[in-house]
Amino acid sequence: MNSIVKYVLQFIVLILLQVLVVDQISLGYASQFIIPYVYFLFILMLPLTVSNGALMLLAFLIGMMVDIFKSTPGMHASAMVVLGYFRPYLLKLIEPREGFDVLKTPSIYSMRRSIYLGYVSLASMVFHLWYFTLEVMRFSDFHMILLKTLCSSIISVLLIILAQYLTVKRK
Amino acid sequence: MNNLFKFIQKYSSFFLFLGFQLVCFVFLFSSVNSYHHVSFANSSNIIAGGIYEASSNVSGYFHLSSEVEQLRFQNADLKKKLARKKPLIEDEFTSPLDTNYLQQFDFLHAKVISSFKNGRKNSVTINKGANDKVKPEMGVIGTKGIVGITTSSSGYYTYVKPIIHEDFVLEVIHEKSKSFGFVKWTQSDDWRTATVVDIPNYVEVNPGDEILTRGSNGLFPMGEMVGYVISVEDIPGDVYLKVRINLAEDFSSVYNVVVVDNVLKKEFQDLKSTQN
Repeated sequence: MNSIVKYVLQFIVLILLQVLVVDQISLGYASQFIIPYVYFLFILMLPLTVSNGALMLLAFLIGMMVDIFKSTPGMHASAMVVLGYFRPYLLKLIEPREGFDVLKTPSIYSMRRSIYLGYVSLASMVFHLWYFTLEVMRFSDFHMILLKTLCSSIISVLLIILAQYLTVKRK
Repeated sequence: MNNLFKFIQKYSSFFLFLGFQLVCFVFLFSSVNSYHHVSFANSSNIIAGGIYEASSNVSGYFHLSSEVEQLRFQNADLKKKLARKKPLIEDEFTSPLDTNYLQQFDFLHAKVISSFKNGRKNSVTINKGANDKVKPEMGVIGTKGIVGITTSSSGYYTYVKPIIHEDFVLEVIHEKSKSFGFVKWTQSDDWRTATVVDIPNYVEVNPGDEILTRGSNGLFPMGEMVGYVISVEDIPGDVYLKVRINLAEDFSSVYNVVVVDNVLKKEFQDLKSTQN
């Protein structure tokens, strides 16, 4: 019960953080390429035992909420569902030889630091690549999509790692 | 049949994934006026509007002084215009009751409570809605230049499609030559610039020239500031110029706006519909 309240709070806080703080960051000329998103951290923080269906449903819900705030119907929801679908595969890809401790939730302290960094970077790349492809919606500008994905991913991984150090308690 | 079920069960998460994507794509690719889009916009106005207004009540104070400065300039400008409208008869100014002075446009002041400028489908939300008689398809003008056109409104909030939205099109004129074209926001533009197309290539357009609204569709009064020319590209083999302009309105700090209500809009539309 306690953990459900925790995840609901995370859901709300991450959406508000995204639309009221991170979206207001302006980097002048560079803000053409650097449009970081951090709210997908919600999906990354869910326990390893969550089923694929629940993962995608939660991803869809949080994506739709951000869409509601940004008046971009379906765009964030679609990118989040992609991330929700690929999360188990990403985890399998970076799984260390001894495997993950399924009782712990993924965070920078419960995994090895390099593995967590890989997990967040891959997820961020998947999310941003799908999102910017939908946004630009033409393959003649593919270099633009890649540039945006790369620049935005770097910044959002930095923000997420920072947020982990600031909020997650070391155990 | 059994095999089919087994197949579906084996790839259940993939089918679920496809299902979710289908729902997203219905929203994503439905046209702006469709039922899905409008109901999405309405619900999003209700949920997001209150939160954005609360946040803008706080952040509004940060650029208060520059905003006041701009309003002062605008006031002075308006006073100058007003003085020209009122003829001096004997000792005092009088406003003549003359149909020449019939007011065509009504202006409603509003505040921007949220705006996005970094995507391709940007949006601006203002804190006036249907209760203040703001309807879809009305012009919105900022303190420095035009902002956009309203698209949907709930009771207290309205969405505006800004110039920096990839579907935005508006007829404009080049001030010096009075030749007209369309302002669009193309892939190569960022939130500070836009592109004017359809100006013939024999017109002399120089950097710094003013681009104004033409007022042809009744959304804006004639001669509202849109932007200033920065560069002109004469495409070989094309009879039209491609003019890059700097937008007059600063979308990083748009705050005070007016919504334009064209009193004669219905008359104008009726006239247009009798033509075809």
